[in-house]
Amino acid sequence: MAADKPQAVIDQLRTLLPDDGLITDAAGLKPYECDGLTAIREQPWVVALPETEAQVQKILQICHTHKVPVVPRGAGTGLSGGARPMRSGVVLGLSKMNKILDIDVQNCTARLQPGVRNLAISQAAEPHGLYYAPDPSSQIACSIGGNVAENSGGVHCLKYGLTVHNLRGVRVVTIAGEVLELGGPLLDSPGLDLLAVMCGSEGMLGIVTEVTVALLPKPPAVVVMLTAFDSVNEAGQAVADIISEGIIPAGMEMMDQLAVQAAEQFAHAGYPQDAAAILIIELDGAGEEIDSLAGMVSRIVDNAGATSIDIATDSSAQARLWKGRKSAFPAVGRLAPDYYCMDGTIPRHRLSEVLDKINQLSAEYNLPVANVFHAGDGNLHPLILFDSNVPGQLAATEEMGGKILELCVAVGGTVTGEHGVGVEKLNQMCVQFNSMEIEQFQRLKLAWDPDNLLNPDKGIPTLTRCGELGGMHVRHGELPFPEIERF
Amino acid sequence: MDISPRLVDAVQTAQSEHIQLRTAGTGSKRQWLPGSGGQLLVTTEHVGIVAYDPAELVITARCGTPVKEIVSVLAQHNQHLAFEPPQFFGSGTVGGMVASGLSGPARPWGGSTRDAVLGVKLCNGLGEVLNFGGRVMKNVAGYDVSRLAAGSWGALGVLLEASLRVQPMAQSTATLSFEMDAAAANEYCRNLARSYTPLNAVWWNNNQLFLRLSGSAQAVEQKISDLGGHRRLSDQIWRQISDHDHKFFKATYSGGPDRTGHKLWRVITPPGAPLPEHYDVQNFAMEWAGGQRWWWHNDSARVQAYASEVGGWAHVKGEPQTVDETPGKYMLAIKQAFDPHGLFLSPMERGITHAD
Repeated sequence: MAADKPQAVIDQLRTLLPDDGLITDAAGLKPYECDGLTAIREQPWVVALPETEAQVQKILQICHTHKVPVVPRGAGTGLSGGARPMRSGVVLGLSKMNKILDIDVQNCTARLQPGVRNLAISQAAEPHGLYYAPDPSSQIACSIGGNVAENSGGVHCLKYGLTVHNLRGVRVVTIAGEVLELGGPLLDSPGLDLLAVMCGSEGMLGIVTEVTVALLPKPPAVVVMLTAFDSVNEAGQAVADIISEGIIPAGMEMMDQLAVQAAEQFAHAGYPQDAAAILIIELDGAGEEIDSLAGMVSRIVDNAGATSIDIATDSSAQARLWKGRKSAFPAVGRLAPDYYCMDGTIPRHRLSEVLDKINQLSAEYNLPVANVFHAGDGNLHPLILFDSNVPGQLAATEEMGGKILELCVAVGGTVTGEHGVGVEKLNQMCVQFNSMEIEQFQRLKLAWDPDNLLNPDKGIPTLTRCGELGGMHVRHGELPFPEIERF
Repeated sequence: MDISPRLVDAVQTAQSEHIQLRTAGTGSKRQWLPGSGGQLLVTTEHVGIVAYDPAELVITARCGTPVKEIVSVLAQHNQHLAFEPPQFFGSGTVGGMVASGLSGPARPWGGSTRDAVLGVKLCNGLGEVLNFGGRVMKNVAGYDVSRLAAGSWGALGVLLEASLRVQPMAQSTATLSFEMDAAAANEYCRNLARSYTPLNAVWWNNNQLFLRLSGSAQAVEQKISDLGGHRRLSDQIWRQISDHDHKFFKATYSGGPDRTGHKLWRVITPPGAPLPEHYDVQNFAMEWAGGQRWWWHNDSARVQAYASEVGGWAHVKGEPQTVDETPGKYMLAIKQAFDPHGLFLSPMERGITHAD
């Protein structure tokens, strides 16, 4: 067993990094205590901020030698505590590696250091008429390295895919300090697809030091529609009808009444506050096809029972419609001192049943829930409103949130669509996966990191943890939500 | 029919009797990468579509299900597999499609096989039946084993079932051809890739460039009038290319070049990479907007040198892809994590350079 917080590690890191590249004082460590999941905090031992791949390599070698755990961190916008530090661990922050290395117009790719902000990629590509498609709501701040770690989505991923679909290559440093170059501006790579498994691995397999992404030509014509419904069911039906007609909108977002009201009061986007649900639909394409596409979608939503349809064709009106949705989280945040954001994905046809059940849980726990939904791809973000100063409310919220995620699994979905497991959803992983699957994940992890040093307490639960939860989740041999049909 | 108990039993028996297994479907990809050794474990009886709801854009099928059955069921709902999987000899199974990870001419626009994989059920080398991923579009719970399984050529276990993302078929498709040399074709494709175009396949060989447009009727018709070229009556050429049924892929054909001593190389390059200095227009072809090039050649060193010069890599059709030592080490460690006793013989592993 290695010593806790060995002084040799600090000494070697100090030799390696410039003064501002190593943080050890309490005040300096403070901002690194948590990521976007602010309810869960820990003060790290040290924070190392490398500027080059060679430094990353050295830091990992030092930590590997001394068996010190390493928690990688991008911009710290993650919502599942994936960058929550460890008391005896090193935080490896990649924020200083933030250069755009190349916009390759010839191959429609961008080569980036991991700390480059998501939005900065599209801004750099813009003069060439190109952009980077995945656009998580935090795109102003989140970094591409973090996007790779989480396999981030965004409102346009129904049509344009997740990070994994737009990622062409990475350079990765393993805990042993070995550098792997996976992919590149290429459309295939030899052997096992390590790039696929690296994407979404939450910093548990290696540290990404360079990223190559695909850039797409910007669509010449865009239309954004705001449609309102008297029931969530009708809105859900409209979504299914649009897709069944063979239309894949660039974005299709649903919000329920509480989320609509909060967003409207916050962003003044012009949302109808009396609607039970709204659907924001973005269509894109060539100039000559966009009108007929918009006409088709209008007819479909009208038939599904839309009470109003507004079409925004100019970019400022479109931005206004999106502003409400993109600020839904902070807007809901104003309704209560705290909110807890869930991230389950469900098969779309189970939506009304899941929302009914969430409403029942909301009544049972006496905690209001606003629902924001990436409707096209079934990714549901229930936001539970609570007050952490009221004794017991955080615990009740976490319990209720856990039940919502278990519900997502019970209808054939998953506990996390895009935010990652981090530390937040470890318990629900025990519901989604059985012990053999969890052991398989662990063996995969150890193939890369035999000493279990890279973000060791994230992503995959231990079987002990799952065993201890057994009593909570399975009562009298019954699974949660026994009335729900299973797959 | 669900024969998974029999398949799992075979794996468990192999484990206890120390037998090695080679998983296969119809064997349609032999010409691409032949397997050898081990006891054959055939999956073709494990058939059936387990779930398909067109509005969810997902289909789940057992590994022995013929790809053509999937394609035809999807077509009834105006949907398809956007990665255009090869169906050599018109056969091939879902398991082989995922395990080989081969994608057709639409790959740069419709994504790869791996991109479309949403979930797998697999029996690992311990005889455990495991589920990864699922039937939903977005899923980041646990490592992405489903997509890792795509292109694994049976190294990780027996793929019992796969869930795949499907896409609506385009309203309209058209094939255009142009007389153009390779350099001009390369430049032409670069310009198209940078502009918003309903393009979804490219093929160049023997000074002819073929493009396939696919999208709404308005967008396709508009583009046809913008681009000109010769509109082909049939889109048949794309199936021929995808299935290597096009004469270019045959060692000999009437009026074709002498290919004695030549091998067919697949060269993966950055799409805009320059052309080789010398090549025979009959023996050289490009697809994937330039990102996949085919080259009949009798000098391995020449082809390899070209691939590395342009930042790509190359392998001979019928032979495994060569993997460098460092990534190879991690691939073998992953293989070991799924198949600790080394039960599954995968032809892919022959290409991995061993550190020892």
